[in-house]
Amino acid sequence: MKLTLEFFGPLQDRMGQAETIVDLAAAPADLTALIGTLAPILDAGEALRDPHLRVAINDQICGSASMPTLKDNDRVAFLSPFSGG
Amino acid sequence: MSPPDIILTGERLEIGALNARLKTGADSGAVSTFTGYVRGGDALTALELLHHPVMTRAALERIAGTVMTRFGVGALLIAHRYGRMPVAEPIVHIAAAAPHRRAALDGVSFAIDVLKTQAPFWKREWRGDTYDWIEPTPDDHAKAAHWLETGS
Repeated sequence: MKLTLEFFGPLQDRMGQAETIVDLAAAPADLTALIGTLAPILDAGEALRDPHLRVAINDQICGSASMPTLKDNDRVAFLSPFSGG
Repeated sequence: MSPPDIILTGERLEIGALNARLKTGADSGAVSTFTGYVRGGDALTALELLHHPVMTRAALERIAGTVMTRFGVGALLIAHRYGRMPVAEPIVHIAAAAPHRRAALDGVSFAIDVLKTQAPFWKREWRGDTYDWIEPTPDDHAKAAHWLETGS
């Protein structure tokens, strides 16, 4: 299954890119499994294990227990802690 | 109660024009505003705000809706810049109108405190050709938590 990964904030520098596409053999069941799958296969992927990151699927923030079932071509955004205002 | 006025822009915020947009009514006994500016010093040449193409506006609308219902604010404007801003330029402007001062003051306080950690913005400080990311401080988190957890 193809996923588009997007990186926002300081994480973008740590990952060295704003966006990348990955092709996974199976859909990870939850957020922990998703990060566990992605971290070893991406350059600097260990940065995704930062517990302060937020994750959004198709522009909807999801919690560790509330990740929707991933589908082909979903967009998964990893968001560094926010600092507006 | 009018719908909140949310402005997310790459253009300079004109504070007088923004205040004139606030939809005050006959029951607006108090108007409160907050403006955040780029603070100079430490060789800072510019501040850059980055945002998310979809989620930032959605978060501002959600925060604004909460302010209006929770504090009984009748009219609310939240304007936030993105892009690079020189020292002394405004970053964010919030204006609230309510029947009484406490609702207007608290509504504005809630909006800015919660916005800092709950709306998808990222900030970096430029010094010449180099930048440093600014991460939220423990104090930022504590101020947002005060509103979000105590319900007061």
